[in-house]
This record gives sequence, structure tokens and C-alpha cells, in this order.
Amino acid sequence: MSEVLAVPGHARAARGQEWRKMWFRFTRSPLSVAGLSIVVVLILAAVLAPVLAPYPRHAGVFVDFDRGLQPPSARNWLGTDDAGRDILSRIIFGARISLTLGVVVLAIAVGLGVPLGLIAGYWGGRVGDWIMRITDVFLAVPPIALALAVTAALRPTLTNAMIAIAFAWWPWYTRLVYGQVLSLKEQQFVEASRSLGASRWRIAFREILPNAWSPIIVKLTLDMGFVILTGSGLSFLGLGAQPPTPEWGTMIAEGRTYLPGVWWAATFPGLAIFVAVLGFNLLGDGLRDVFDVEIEQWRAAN
Amino acid sequence: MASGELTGVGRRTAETGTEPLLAIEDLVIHFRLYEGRARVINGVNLTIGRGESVALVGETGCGKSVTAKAILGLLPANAEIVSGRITFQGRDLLRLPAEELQRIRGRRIAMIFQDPGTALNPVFTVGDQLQDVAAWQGRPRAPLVRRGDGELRRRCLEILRLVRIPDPEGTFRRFPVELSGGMRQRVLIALALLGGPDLLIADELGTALDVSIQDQILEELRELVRTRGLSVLYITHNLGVARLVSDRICVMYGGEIAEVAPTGAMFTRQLHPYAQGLLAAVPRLTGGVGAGIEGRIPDYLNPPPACRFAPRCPFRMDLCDRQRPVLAQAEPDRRVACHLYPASTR
Repeated sequence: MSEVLAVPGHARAARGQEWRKMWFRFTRSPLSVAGLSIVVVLILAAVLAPVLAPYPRHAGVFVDFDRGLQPPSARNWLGTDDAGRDILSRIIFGARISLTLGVVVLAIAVGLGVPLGLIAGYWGGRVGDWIMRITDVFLAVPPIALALAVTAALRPTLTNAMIAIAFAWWPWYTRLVYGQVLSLKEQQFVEASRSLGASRWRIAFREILPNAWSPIIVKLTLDMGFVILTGSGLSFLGLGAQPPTPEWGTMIAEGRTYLPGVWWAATFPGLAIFVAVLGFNLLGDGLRDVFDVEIEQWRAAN
Repeated sequence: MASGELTGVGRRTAETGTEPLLAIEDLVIHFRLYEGRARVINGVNLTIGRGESVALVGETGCGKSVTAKAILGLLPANAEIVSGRITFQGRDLLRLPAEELQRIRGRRIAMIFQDPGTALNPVFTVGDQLQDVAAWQGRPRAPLVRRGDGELRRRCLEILRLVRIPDPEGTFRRFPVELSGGMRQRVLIALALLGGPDLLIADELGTALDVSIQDQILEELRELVRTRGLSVLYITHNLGVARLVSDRICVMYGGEIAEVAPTGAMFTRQLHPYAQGLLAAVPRLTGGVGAGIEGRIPDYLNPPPACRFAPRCPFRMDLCDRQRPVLAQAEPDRRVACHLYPASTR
């Protein structure tokens, strides 16, 4: 399609080239590509779980004690747990839960944190001071401790775990955006927009925010891993998803009692967490490198 | 719809004998700094008639840009307007509620920014930026996101043609970084014209461009201004630019107006010693750099007690350190603030 529109010197062609250039830069780093591959595999696993999993029914309430605690074999590639459920199938379904958790938590964190950071940064004054001081209070408490406190106060369910983590996570976005806004609001295009009669809402959300997206996207990608880790941590402690939900942390908690003899029940869900966190971190680092170059070039051009 | 059409009673001026479009009277602006109060703008008087182009000329730091920003209400937070009035179409801009002022910006008074490459938002195409502005201008409650609109698009393409952009359709789809400096400057002019303002403020227009393109753009703007009957306030440190575009020149020094004269007369003969020095400092093609003026702009924290130019002035008298000269008519059509002319000593 783009071939048809690619008249020489055409802006659209130039834009396609820009993307290709970014992709080229991204693919220079094998680690970035590895990260992207892991994330793509995770997403595919989550979406196609019922198709990919050898025993889809094992993800829910299913008991077959005759086949409990079987070691990895041709029939159950990663072995079975104490109730005879296929661990591979449960890990594949677990990707759904972990990704959902990550997306929901970060959507809340961004939805809350970004507007607050914009307002604090662009309005400034007393409103800004209040927002940032409250943010500082939240940042002073480690997120896992805060999330633990919140889930302990609420009932331990997966939904509450998401709320708890989001509650601990938004201040990081407020901080990030606040810093961005402070430098962006001194840019000339902001003043130009004011001189044309733009309201401060418009300037904050339509002029400044679109320029602040790349660091937000990088942080989101990096945070996906940490949020998944935190969510699994809460579930492991019994404060998140409850059995028989195939949540990776919950699975480790269940398999833990059979260690070290039945090593596969806890090890494979643990590896799943490890790989997921690694994947998002590598991808995030790769994106940061690409965006940083973009920003550097933009600065050099001006 | 817009309330800017109101034309109240303005003051008559000595220069034109008619009611000016904009009149700045005794404007005093201080800046609160860590070191103390910087007395930057010290009683500026300036008028712009309908259809008139005025150049505000002075060296860097003389308060030209502060004056311009005061008109639009875009002063930084630490600026304090101590006294004065800025009357525009019969209303005092300094006493207008923020929302009213916001409606005047862009629609009645628009600013053309100089283009160092950052005056356009880097993440939107030219077309998006123009259409956005056209969609919300004058409508404070307009939704943050614009819907596609053929009429809007036509209007914006029309404006691009007006500022002589050769390929409006192509430019529409381009991002600012994909345009040359000259094209970006034209887009900035288009943005300023979009709201159909009566007064344009051009801040160091074209300074970042190379001279041939700068001249070309200035000529085009001059033509545009003439055909549409707009008033323009050019802020510049470049006398060549001022000569090219203005009907009248105000020379500013140390936050005060030193001399006002029609452009031709100003270049023939200057009354104020600072204006004389300023024109003598212009490098000439015939060889050599200009004479220049000894010394630096005044320290705004501790400005000279009376005449702010006195410490640098070759004609300094005792009176200059005791009494402040007032801007007064020294000759027909010319006003000057200097004790060399009896009218200024009151």
C-alpha cells in the first residue's frame, strides 16, 4: 500500500523511512530482539491459550489424583502438580493472568499518574506543590510494602491485588511526567500556542503530553516486568489470585511444599516469571536506546 | 461571536491625530529576582495606529520583548506590572480577566514567533497544527480533540497559499523538521494570520534565517500587511529590518523609549544620542565596522538615578543625573527623551 503513495519526496514516504530507520536501529541489538520475541511469544500464548495448551481444562477446577506429581514426560512436558493438572497448560493460561494484571495496573497508574504530573508541572503553584508532596509520600514507601498493606486491608483476590499495585505505582508516572513537563513547558511552541489563545488544558494535554510519550512508553515496558513480578509475589503470599487460578505466583506457592523432590511443580512457573520479566526489561531497554537516539538527533537538528 | 469587535473610546495621539489601535501608557514592569527588584520597564509610551507598522528597536536586553509579552499577557510569573495601561480597541488589556485576554490572543492580537526550529510542535504535522488552531480559536469550550472537517482544511490551505508556500497540500502532511527554516517561518506567519487579527507582533522575525530569505519573507509580510490593512509591531535589534518594514521607529533604551520618529526621518537624522550611536554602530558595506557605543545596558537592579543612558552618553550633563528626561515633542512628528532638547526638561 505504501508503495502506491510513495511519490518521490512525499512526506508519507519519509515517514515510513523514519519507522524503518528506527526498526533498523532496534534490530542492531540482539538483546532487544530477544526481548521483543519473548514478549510476542507471551502475548501469543495469552491470546491463543485454549488452542496452544495441551489440556485446556487443567487451567480451572480439575482433579485427577491418579496422575498427581508426575515428572516431565512426553505426555506432560513439564510434569503435573499435586492435583494431576498439566503444568505447561497452566503456565500458558497463566500468561493471560499476568499480562492482564500488568495491563490493568499500568493503565490505572498511567491514567492517574500522567494527568496529575501534567497538572502539577504545568499549573505549578500550590496545586502542583500539593500533588508532588503527596507523590513524594507514596514514593517513600516501597511499592511491594504498600501493596501488601492494601491487599491485607481488602479481601485477597486478584482484582484487589491489581488495585493495590496500581495504588502503589501511579506516583512514578506523576514524577516522570512532572519532570518532562518542566522542561517541555519552556519550549517555544508552548508559548506560541499560548499567544494564539490556547487554554492551559489544551496546552498541557495537546501540546505537551504528545511530546512526553516516548519516556512514558519506555517506562511502561520496563514496568510490565516489575508489575508482573509484584503481582506474582502477592499471589505467592496468598494475597492475590487464589487456587486453583493458574497464576504463576500461586502455582509456586502450591508446588513449594513438594520441594525438592517434586522440583518441577515450583520451578517451571518460576522460570515463566523470570522469562517474562526478562523479556519486558530487554524490550524496554531496546526501546529506550531507539528513542534516545531520536531525541538526540532532534536536539542536534535544532 | 467574538467580543473583540467592541471599539470603545481611545485616546487621541499627537502623532496621527486619530484614535490609535493600541496605546501603551506609562508602563512600568519590575521583575522579582533573588537579588532584588529588577526595574526593567520604566514608563514606556507607545502607540500603534490602524494600518501602521511600528518597529521597536534596541539592543538585546533593552526590554523590547518584555513590552511585547506584556501586550499579550504572556509575562513570566515573576514579572510585576507596577503601573500603566495598555489600551487596545478601547479596552485595557492589563485589567482584563484571563479568559477575555485568551480570546483576544490569536483573534485580535497575534504574535509571529521567530523560528529557531522549536516554535512549532515537533510531533504534529503542519496541517494538524493549523487545523487544530483554526478549530478551537475563539471557542474556549472547544473539545480537546478535533474532528475532520473539509471546510477547516480548505481554510488552512488557503492561508498557506497566502503566505506563499509553494506546495500547500504537501506541506500540510509534513512535520516541522521536514521543512526548511524559511518554510517554517512562513507556517508561523500563517498560524498568526489564521485568527484574522488586527494587530500582529513580530518578535525578531527571520533573525534565525539567512539574509536573502529573511528579506524575501519580510517583503512578503509587508505586502500582506498593506493589502489587508493590518497593524504590526516589529520587535527587532536589526536596523536594516526596521528600515525595510516599518512606517515609524521607536528606539528603546534601558526599558524606556528614547526616540520616536518616522522611519525615513530617523535614518536621515537622529536626535537622541543613543539613537545616533545605534545607527553609527551599523556595519557599512563601504568598509569598517561602526563606531559602537561604549559601555553596557544599565543594571536594572540599580539603574542610573535619572536618565538611564547618562553613564554612556557623550553629552552627559549634571542635569542628566538629577532629572529624568520625558518623552516629548522636539520637532514636528518626532519625540525624544533627552535633556539636549528643552521639551524633555520639564
